[in-house]
Amino acid sequence: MIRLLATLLMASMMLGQMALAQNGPLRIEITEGVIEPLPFAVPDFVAESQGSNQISKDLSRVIAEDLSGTGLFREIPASAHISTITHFGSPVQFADWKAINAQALVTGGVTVSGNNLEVKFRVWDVFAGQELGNGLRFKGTVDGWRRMAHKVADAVYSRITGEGGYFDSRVVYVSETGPKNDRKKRLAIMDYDGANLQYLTDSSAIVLAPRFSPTGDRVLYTSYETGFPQIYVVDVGSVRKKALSNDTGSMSFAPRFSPDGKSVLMSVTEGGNADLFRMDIASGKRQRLTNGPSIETAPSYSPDGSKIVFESDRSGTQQLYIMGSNGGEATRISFGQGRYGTPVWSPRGDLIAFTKQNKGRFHIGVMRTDGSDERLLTSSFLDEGPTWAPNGRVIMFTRETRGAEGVSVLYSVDVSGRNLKRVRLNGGGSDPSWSPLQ
Amino acid sequence: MHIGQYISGFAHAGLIGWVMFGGAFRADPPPLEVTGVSVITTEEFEAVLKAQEAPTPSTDVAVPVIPEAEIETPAVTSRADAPVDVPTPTEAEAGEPDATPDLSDLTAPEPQDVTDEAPVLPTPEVDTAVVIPERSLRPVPRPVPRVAPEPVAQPKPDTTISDELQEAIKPDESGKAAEEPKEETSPEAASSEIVTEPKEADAPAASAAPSRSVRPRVRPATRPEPSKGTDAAVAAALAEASSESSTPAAPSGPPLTSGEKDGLRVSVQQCWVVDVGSRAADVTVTVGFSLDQSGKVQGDIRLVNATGGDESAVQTAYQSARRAVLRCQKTGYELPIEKYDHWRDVEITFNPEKMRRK
Repeated sequence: MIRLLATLLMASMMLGQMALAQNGPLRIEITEGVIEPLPFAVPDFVAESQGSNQISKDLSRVIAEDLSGTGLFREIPASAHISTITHFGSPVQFADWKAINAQALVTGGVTVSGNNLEVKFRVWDVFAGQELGNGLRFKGTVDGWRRMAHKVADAVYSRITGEGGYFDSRVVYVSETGPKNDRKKRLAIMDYDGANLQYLTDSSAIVLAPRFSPTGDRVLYTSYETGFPQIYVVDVGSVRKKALSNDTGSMSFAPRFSPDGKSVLMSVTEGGNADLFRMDIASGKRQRLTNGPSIETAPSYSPDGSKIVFESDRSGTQQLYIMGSNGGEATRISFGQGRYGTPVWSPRGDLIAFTKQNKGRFHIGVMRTDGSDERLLTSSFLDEGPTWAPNGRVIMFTRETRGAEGVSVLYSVDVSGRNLKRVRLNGGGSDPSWSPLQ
Repeated sequence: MHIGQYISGFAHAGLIGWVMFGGAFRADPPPLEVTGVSVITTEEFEAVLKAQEAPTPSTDVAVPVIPEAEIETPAVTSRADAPVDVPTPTEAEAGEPDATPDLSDLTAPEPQDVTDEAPVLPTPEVDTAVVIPERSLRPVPRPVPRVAPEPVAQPKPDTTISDELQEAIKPDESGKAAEEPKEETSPEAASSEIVTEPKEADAPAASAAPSRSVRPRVRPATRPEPSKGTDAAVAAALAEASSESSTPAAPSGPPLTSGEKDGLRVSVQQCWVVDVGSRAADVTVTVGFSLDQSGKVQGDIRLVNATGGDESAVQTAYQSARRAVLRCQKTGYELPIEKYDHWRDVEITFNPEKMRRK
């Protein structure tokens, strides 16, 4: 009897709790959204001084192109604008921007004084009717107006997505001209969008695999200048080069800087066997990291410098492995069909990009650092050599077309597999390496 | 050597002889097809020919429409077609017209009174799965604000709407007026801008109507007189206890149906833009807000809870959720006004887990 009463009491208490729970707010869970570019508006920045009319328009265009090029944003053209921004400090008529469904709005002002350029801007969340962050002001020279525009675009991108941008960055790559059987190769450097192209070497010797330093001021590359592949480093500012390895008895290739920029990982072939080494740049001393009969190459540090991912055929086929930064036991992380190569650790640290060859097709893909969640982002006759944007959001790579007349060009793709597009280049190109933000 | 040649010579000679005289390759003669032939007279032959003559062509033949469908070729048979009997057309006699139906038995339905009352629909069960979300009709249409360059105050009730502002000229007590009596006119009330969201300062004056219905008062507890004994005291104590346990904030009316909830969910989710490659896609956020009776967001949308991701990712996920709620409210979320107590406060959880797999 007592048990029965206790059970009834418990039941009545639970019912009471349920009744109380219903008195709270209406609760709903949403698990399905839409994947589409966010509409935004960038009206021409206000020219606040004489002679800044053109540059204010150009700045606005570069900012809009940067944002639209990500595939995450869609610009609403000026012809659809209802409001015009005539003063930087004027209050924003949110209703006019809501009416054209602009979810983000960028307003700015430009002042030119001699060779000095000043750009200020604000980012608005139109539907919330408030500013995203605070206004910012950049100062520079008129010559560097494109960089200024990229910096503004980076800040806008960061305010809206909560992540760092990648527009104020550069790409070093191997410029290729001429037919396949007589191709001229030289190192070239450009803005991420193809502007401001500059050559770092001539085409007298074959060059391969350029890699930026963590600070973006130096570039490592492999050159056949001596007949054997050897590693060089070139200063981007002065274009002065220096050989890092000059051992005629061995071949060294696939170099990559450590996160602190003080040492270089590389693959060295001695007696027909390739192993991984680390070289201290200051002293030139080499430390062996792997020692086996298999071919180990394409090493890449994790962002914190504690681990190294590389490719090896020790299991019989080319696969990806991870080991500590001082060598030792390596763990295989790729187990899918086909062959895996050229792994590159993401600047975020969460993913590894790679090239995969399977059933006659090449792919650029990403996987988590434990090898799980593998996703192939591209597929073509020949895709290879991925490099990460400084924010770890975009991957650039080489795509070569089939046949004797085939050319190598650069492509980029979002890490989600969307927004695959060709990079604007002057001629052909291969082996890209993305710089950090400048 | 010679023995072999001899054997070969004899064998070949034997084979040739057998082929020539033995009939090894002679096939049986093919069977002959026998067809019976009958002898007919000239008259019979003429009669047959006459029967096969083509009929006289007629000019009154409708042009056949070429069928679009592919015509199947009929299988060819060896049997000759039978002669076609062409019957002599006979003139058809006009039949008697149909008898007029007797409608005397039919009676028109009596017209029913049309009322403005909406038919009572059966209320679906709460758990009934519906594809299309239910939307309750809004009983009162919302006034459309008029926008003009200059704001115009609400005219008096008896004022005639006109483009010009004109004061009424009425005769004085003596019945005379200095000017001809005129009717008072005023431009229609207008505002210089469309107020999309209520301002805090305007909030109290926005509507004089109470925001929620007044709950009926609880009956005052009857305090028994001391002389009425123990039973009365116990009853009074119970009455007091019951009055204290009542919850004045409890919403009234039936709860929202699942269809009504789905309607709100679908309205918001179509504005929720998810960047599946971002770190914000790892964050599940819950935002809370209040709605006014027209279904529009009142005040701020606050972050109630967030799981996953760093602070920056949480902030981005919250902003995305806030944009979704604000963008899709348009003129207000369509929710049943009679259940306002149930949707005055809303909490929506935005969970992008499924989206990450896309």
